[in-house]
Amino acid sequence: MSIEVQNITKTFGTFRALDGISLKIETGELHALLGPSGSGKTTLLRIIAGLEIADQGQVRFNDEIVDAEHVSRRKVGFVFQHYALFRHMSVAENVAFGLKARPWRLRPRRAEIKDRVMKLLDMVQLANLAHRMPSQLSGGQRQRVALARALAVEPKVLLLDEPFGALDAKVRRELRRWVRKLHDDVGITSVFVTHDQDEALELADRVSIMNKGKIEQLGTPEEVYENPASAFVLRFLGNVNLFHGREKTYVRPQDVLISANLVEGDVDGENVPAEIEHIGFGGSVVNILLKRLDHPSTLEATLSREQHKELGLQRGQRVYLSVRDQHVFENDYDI
Amino acid sequence: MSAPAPVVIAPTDASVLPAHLRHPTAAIGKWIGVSFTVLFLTAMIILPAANIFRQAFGISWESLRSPSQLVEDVKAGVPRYFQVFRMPEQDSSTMARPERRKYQSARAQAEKTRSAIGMTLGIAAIVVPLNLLFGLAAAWAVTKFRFRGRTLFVSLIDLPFAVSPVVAGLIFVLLMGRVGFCGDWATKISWPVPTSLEWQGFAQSWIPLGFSNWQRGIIFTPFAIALASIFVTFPFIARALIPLMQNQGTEQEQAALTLGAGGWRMFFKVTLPQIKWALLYGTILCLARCVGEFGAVSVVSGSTDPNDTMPLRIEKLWQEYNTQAAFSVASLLAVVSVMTLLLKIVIEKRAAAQFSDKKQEAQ
Repeated sequence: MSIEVQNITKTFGTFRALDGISLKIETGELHALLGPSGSGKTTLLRIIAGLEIADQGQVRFNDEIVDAEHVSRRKVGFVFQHYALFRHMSVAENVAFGLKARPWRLRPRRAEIKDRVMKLLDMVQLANLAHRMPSQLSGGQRQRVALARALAVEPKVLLLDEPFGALDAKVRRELRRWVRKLHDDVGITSVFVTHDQDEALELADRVSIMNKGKIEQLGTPEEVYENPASAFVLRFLGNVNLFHGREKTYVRPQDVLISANLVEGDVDGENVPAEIEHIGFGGSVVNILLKRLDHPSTLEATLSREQHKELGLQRGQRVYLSVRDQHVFENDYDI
Repeated sequence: MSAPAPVVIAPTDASVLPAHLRHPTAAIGKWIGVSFTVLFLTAMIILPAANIFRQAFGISWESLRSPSQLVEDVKAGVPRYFQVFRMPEQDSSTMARPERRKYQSARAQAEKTRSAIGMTLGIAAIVVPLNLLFGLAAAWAVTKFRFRGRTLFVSLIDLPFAVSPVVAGLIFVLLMGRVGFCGDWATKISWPVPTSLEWQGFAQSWIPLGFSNWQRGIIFTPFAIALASIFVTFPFIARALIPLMQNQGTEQEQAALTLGAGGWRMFFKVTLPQIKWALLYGTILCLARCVGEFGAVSVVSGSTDPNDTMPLRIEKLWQEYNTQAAFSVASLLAVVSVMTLLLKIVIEKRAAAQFSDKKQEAQ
C-alpha cells in the first residue's frame, strides 16, 4: 500500500509544525523521516496515522483519500515512542487486544485469536514470555511486544515513532537489523521517525530529511549522503568542517587530508597550514582537532588508525591540509 | 515517561535520611517526635474511640479494676446494646403502667433508630453512584481534554471542601425553600420514593412497574438530604482520580484507538482498569463522608423523625439524655470509619504496587 501526502499544513497555536509537505511513499518501502526535534517529523507521522488532523492537505492510501477515516478505522499499525503497552495486561493480552476489538462479525474465534497471538509472539521471539506483564520486560522486549501488537491487526501500513529512541546503544543496533529483516519478511509499507542519522541511513530504503516543517531532501541514503541538497542536510548527516573563503565550503572530516610537509603543485593550490591541537582516539578511527594558522578557526579531521600510525602525528605539530571532496551551496546564508 | 504520582504516596526509603548522615542529636528528635505523636493520637483518637464502645456497652469505670465487674457489665450491656436497634416483643398487658410506658417508648425509639439507619443507607445508595458517575466524568473531562474555563472548573470541584457544610445546607434551603429562589417550583414538585417501586401490572400503563408512594416538595424531605449529601461529597472521587489520570497521559488510549478500539472499549478496557484503585479509594472516602455527614443534612432535614439519618439520630438521642443509645448508634459509625481505614491501607498497598510497576517501565 502506497502512502501519499499532499500539501499538508499543520499549526499548533502560532507554531507552524508542517508547512506544505508533499511526499509519496511506495508500496513495500521502508521510509525514514529524519530531522532534528521540532522539525515536524512526528507530527507528519501522526497525521498519516490519523492521530492528528491536518489543517490543510490530504493523505491518500493507494490513491484513496483517508482524511475522513477515524484513526480506529484506518488500519494503521502504530508503534509509540514509549511503546504505550497496556500495563494491566499480559504480553499475550496486549497482542490480542486489536483482534478482540474488531466488530463481532469480523472477530476471529477465541482459539484462532490465541493461535495468531502465539504465531506473532513466535515471530518476535517472545513466545516464552507470553504471560509476563509489561513491567517485567526489558526495553527491547517491550519494543518487540509493541511491534507484535501493531502487526496483529494486519495493518496496511506500519508507522513507528522513534522506535529505538528509548533503548541503549547495543540493543538499539541489534533491534535495528532485526526490524529491517522483519520488514523484508512481512513486506509491509513502513515509515519510521528518527533523529539519528546513522539509524535512518542504515535502515531505510529512502530518507526524507526534514527541517522546520519542510522536507529538505528526499532520496536513498546514498543519494542524500553523497549529494546533499543543502547545507542543512550536509550538516545534519554528520560532522562537517566549514571553510570560510569567498563562499562557504563544507568538508567532511574524513575528506580532510593531512600531510607533514608542504605539498608541491596541490590540485586546488590549497596548502592550509595548521597546528594539531588534540588527538582523540575514537576506537576504529582517530579524530584530530586542528587549529588553522591562517584563519582563526578549528577543523576536524578523521583518519584511520593505520593512516595515523603512518603519519606519526604529534600534538602541537605543524601540518598542511588539503581537501578531497567539498560541498558548496547557493543561497547559503544561515549558519 | 514522567514519574507518576500514586493515589497516596506511601513513605518510601528515599524519604528517610540514611543513618550515617544523621546528626548525633537526631536520636533525641526522634524520641520527642515519636512520643509526642503517640500521646497526641492516644488523647485525640484512640481514647475517644474506645470510649464510644465503652459507653455503648455500658461498661463502668469500676470494671477496669475488677474483671468480675467487667463480665457483669458486658452481660448486661450486650442485650441493652441490641435493644437500641430492636426491642424484642414482650407481652405488655401484664406490665405495670410505668414499665409498660417505658417498654413502649423504647420500642418506638428502636423503630426510629432503625429507620435512621435505613435512611442513611438509602441516601448513600443514591449519592455514591451519582458521585461516582460525576467524579469519573469530571476527571475524564479535566484530564483528557483542554477547554476554556478548565481551571475554573477544577476550582469549582473543590468548592465543597471550602464551604462549611451548614452553609451548603442553607444554600439549598434558600434556593428551594418556601420563600426561596426556586421556591414556587420546588415546593410543588412531587417525586417518587424509590423504595416504593412495585409491580403494578399492565392495567394502568404499558410499564408494569410503578411507584406507590410520591412525596411533595424538596426541602425538608429525603430528596433535599440526598441533594445536600451529593453537594458535600462530590469532590472526593474526582480529586482521587485527577492527579493519577493527569500523570497517565493519553498514550495508551491512543494505542487502543490505532488498534481499532471504539470509545467504549477504550474506556472500559484501557482507562478504567488503570484507575480502579484510585476510583475505589475515592468511592470509599465519598461513602464514609456521606454516611457521617451532619451539618448540611441537619439544615435541610427539617428535624422531623422520619427524615433522620444516623448522625441526626445520634444527636437526638443525646439531647434526650439517652447516652447509651446515642453511643450505640455512634459505634456503628465508628465501625464504618475503622473499615474505611483498613480498606484504605489495602488500597494504598495495591496502588503502590501499580506505582512501582510504572517506575520500572519508566527506566
